[in-house]
Amino acid sequence: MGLRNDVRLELVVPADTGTGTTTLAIERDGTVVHTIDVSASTPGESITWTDNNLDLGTYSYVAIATDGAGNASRSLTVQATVSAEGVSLLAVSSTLAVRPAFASTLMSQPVYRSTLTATKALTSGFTVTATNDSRLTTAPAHASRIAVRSAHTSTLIAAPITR
Amino acid sequence: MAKNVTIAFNQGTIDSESALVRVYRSPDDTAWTEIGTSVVNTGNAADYVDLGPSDNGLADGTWYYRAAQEDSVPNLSAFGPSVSVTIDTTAPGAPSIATLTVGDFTP
Repeated sequence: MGLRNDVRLELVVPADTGTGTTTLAIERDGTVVHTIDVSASTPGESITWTDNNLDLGTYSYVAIATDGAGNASRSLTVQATVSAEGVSLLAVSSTLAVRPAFASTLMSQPVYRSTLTATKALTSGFTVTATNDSRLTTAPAHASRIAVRSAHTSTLIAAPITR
Repeated sequence: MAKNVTIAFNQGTIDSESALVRVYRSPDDTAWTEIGTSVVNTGNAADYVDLGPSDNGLADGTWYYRAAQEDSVPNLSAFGPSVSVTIDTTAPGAPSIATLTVGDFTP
């Protein structure tokens, strides 16, 4: 499970007398970001398209249907908000103490604002090489990526290092 | 909004002895009505513009056209094959965005 920064739209193909609906274009904030050929679809059929990897923010979407003669109709505008996510937990996955030369896994578990919790943690493997391992005070790549995207992120690494 | 149709002839099929081309229109490829003529000049027939009934444009739907050429006697040739054109000035119904879901849908 990754970041919840995709927007999935389910569109319904409209009917058209004459040449028939040929395309459905999707506008995001006034710019067409995708066009779907629906010339082989039937009116009422659902078409799904996902707008991936969006930055945080609110987006306006409009669907535009065009028939074979170039006549077009627009849908109502709908809005989607991609909100910040936070990393609420970073912990050493093993219940054993982390020791130098031992391979360990740092596990980050993103918790979303919408109260949903990721069902699969992001992990980053590394080997502790010294008593003071800087990697234990720096979030790994996965966590860093989450932190960059997060407006409210706290990172906690709590694990004793013993010899 | 009704529209006009411009008909261009295959000049290679125009006989140099022809004086004009007669143009016919049908709503069903069966019942034909002569709608006008195009003057032939040294083997070239000018385009013909169908302005529709009473020059008010053609209604939405499929229209068929065929033509025959005529010499100065006048002898009328056989008709060429019909061609069709679809007039569509009506926009499709407005599409709808049935659902909008924010989530992790990355494959």
